[in-house]
Amino acid sequence: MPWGERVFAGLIGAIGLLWIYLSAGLTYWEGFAPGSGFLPMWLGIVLAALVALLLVKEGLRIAAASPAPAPAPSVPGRHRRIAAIMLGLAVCAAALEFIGFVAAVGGYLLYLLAYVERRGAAQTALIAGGTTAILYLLFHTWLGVPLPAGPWGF
Amino acid sequence: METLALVGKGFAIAFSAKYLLFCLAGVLIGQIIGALPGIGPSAGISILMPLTFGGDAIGSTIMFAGIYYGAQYGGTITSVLVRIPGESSSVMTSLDGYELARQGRAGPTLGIAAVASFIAGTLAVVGLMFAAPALARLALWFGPPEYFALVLLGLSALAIVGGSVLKGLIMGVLGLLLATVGVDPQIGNPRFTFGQLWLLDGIEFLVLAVAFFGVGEVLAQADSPDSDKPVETVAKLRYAYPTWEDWKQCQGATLRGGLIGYIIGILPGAGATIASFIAYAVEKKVSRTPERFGKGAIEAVAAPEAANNSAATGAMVPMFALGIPGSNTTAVMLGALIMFGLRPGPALFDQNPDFIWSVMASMYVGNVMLLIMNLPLVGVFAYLLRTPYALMYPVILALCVIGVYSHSNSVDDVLLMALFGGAGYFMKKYDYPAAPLVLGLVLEPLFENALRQSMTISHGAFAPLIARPITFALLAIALALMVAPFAAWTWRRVAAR
Repeated sequence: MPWGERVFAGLIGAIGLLWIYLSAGLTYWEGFAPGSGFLPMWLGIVLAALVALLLVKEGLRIAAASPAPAPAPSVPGRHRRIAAIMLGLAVCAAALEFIGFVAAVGGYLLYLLAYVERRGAAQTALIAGGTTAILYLLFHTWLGVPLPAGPWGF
Repeated sequence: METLALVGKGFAIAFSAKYLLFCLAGVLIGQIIGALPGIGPSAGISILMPLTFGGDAIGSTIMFAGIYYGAQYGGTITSVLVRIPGESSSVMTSLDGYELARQGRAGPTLGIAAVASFIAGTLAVVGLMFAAPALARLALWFGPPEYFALVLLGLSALAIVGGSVLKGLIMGVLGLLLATVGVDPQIGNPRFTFGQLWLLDGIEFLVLAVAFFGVGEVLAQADSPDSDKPVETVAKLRYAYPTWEDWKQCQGATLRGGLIGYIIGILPGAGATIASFIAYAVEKKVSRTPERFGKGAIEAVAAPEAANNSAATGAMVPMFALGIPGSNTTAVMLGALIMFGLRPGPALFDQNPDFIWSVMASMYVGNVMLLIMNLPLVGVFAYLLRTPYALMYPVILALCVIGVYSHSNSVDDVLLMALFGGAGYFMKKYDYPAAPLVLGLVLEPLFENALRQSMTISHGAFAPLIARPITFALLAIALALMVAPFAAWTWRRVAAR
């Protein structure tokens, strides 16, 4: 099991432990029926136990010298690409309410195509502008979805 | 007679202009989605779901079903022309399909695939019409303890489909656990909201579905070394139509594949991919010339194609009749039905007959549409395949953002989608299946209510619940599904010593 996967599994196990801790503050049993904390408590226990089992099982597999098939190796530079896509998505989501849908999503598309993918100006402008315009027309104008507007009204 | 009358009414609804358009849109989008690597029908349905909110439940479900079985056709085109299965269920098709295409027989291969899919898909719809009501009648005996056991069975069945049962179970439990965020459905007090008002509504199914199947897939694809390579279509459509000899060779394969696909599709948690693998293996076994398999045997295309198409329809049986999805895509569709205010399960047949029968009737119509438009569109799909992924994924991400935002008008949900999208990437990278998580999230309210009602009925005791025959049987099957892989693993370790 790669190091990254251990951290990932550990995080899931930590969620289970957090649920056990938080559900201890809820009612476990009421009269002869389970309370609000009953199911979450047991789900937390089962989740933490399953993650522990997975880690032990992988530990035994390593001890038995039969390593699990490793995930496909990432190509150098791809991590940076993924981080750039994710960071842009988070910024786009956070900026939606302040600068509006058109600027946030249009800006995100420009960033992805021009900066992350290094596409030409014409192609970038066409895809970013066209996609934003089509989505705005479809959702805002046609379907009446109240998309967030920026200081300039759209 | 009553069923026939309902079928007739279903056809009358399905043939209205509005629903024909929904069906056409569904199969067309499904074909494109199936042809494009990196976006599956579950992602397509998740991304399009926000467009259907507040809209027509029948039309939307007809479109989603069209996307599902349309994607099976679409996956075939890329498998045959460029050996890139757009869908995992088309992997087996690519083995012989691509070889045939290299021999200049792409046209007949696609023709056989289309006809085999059509025949098997149509027969499966007939099976769906008869099996689903029967299952629904059986399910009328279900009370809260049986529903509790049924959800457990559904989760454990879906958990075993992926590579690791343990990881599948972890994801299923995580889904149940995340669904406890929000207001307690029975008492009404807030749980696990961390003082955030927007979490009182809980974590929306759509946010997770789009995050895992949309954003997570995009990130995983961006990590793939092949994502930027231009696709070369080596196949030539020299001869457009199959010969009489081809038809004769494929008759048995189509029927066998269709039957295998339907049976496997009905089993909760199985699905089109397993069906196509088994159909291929069976066809090779019964063939008098198994050595041709892998080198361009046309019946090796017909069998998996028939199987994956009828499995897609078969998977609708447990979804409609029991509320248990048979595949990733039907897990997403199940969530959509619940969001439309419908409750998949036995009551659906009694309370919403127009809905259920018109959707089933539309599947016939959709299969005919697919057959008619399959071959003329081959050139268009081959052209679409040349679109580099680097140009495609920004558009998919923009759709994800607007889809989630338009559902709840909440920026918090978009941020949550970005967060879970990142988690979805790691799930994909480390082979943690997303479907059990999404299913757990969708089924938790039913699961928790059934559990608490059952325990109230039995005055807090577990034993009377397990003593009920249906509950016992369902729990025993669920336990067997979960324990069998561990027992096999332990056995292998003991045997190795």
